[in-house]
Amino acid sequence: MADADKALFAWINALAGRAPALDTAMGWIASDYIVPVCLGLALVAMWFIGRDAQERMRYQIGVFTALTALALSNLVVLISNAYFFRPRPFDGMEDVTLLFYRPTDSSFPSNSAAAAFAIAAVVWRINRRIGAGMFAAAAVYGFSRVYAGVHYPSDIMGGIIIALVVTAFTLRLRDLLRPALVVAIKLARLFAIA
Amino acid sequence: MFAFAVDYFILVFVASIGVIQTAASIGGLRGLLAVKRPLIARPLGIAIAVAAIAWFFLGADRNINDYAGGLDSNMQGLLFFLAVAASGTLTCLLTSLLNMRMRDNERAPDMGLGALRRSCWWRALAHNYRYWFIEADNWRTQIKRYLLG
Repeated sequence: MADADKALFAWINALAGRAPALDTAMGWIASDYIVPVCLGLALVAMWFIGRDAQERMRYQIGVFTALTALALSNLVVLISNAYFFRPRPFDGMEDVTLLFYRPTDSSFPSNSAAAAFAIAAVVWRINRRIGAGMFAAAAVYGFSRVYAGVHYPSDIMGGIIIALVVTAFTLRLRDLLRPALVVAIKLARLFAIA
Repeated sequence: MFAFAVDYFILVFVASIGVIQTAASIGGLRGLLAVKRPLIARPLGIAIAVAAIAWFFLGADRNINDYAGGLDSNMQGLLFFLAVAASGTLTCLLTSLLNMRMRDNERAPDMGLGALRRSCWWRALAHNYRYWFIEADNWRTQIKRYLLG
């Protein structure tokens, strides 16, 4: 299993260094900024795009739920990192093409994949079209991290599993907290901001 | 780190101004549009967001670890929230000036962003205030009923 993981990593990472333009694009996508900012901006857009009061309420509760899922997935990864450490591919393998800085935290699970997939999974439950776009962005983000040499494929899979479990939990939590969320949004409506 | 944080704030601030314009045109919130025609506001908003992202990445190398001058995830989250709040505030104030003539004369105000279909943000806020706190018989009871109903 570990060998297959390393072999898949080596195959994907071997694509790096062949086409400078692709490397630049993957370096951008793999960075800590572009995909998280785009996902965050998509949540900002969701706040406004509802066509009537009911749809807006559904989307705005969805934004709160996605932010909760993001926070919880980060927390789970943080706890996991406290007990488990896996060296990064560039520390554990030879001939790795690195298009990124050298992170010092655990390679497994991928925090970036967990966060991106958690947001995408919540939004998928609310709006399939936007959710599908977010899943695509999260998948490219995960792939770019392997391409850039900072994660093994199994790290990304670990992040995805954490995201899906956290999402299931967060959706339950949302149902419990819905009355409080509705009051908070109605309060914001008095100021014409929700 | 400070320069990087400022750049990140500007990225999110400018990009979210563009995103709000695009989203407001999709949601039909004419009172939030800086450009009257939604069909122009939509691509213009996307162009602003794309330009902000391009500026951020083309200006310098952004693959920097947090201990080498980059931003950790907590700082990113905080700056993102502050930048979006600032751009939302600026959008509301600026479009209120631009769309001052838009007003909703119906007695019962359309609650929330829905009011911005027919009036600017400032007038919607003033309309809400007048309706709930001046014209309503007992504003505490009415607001309680509204919030919990």
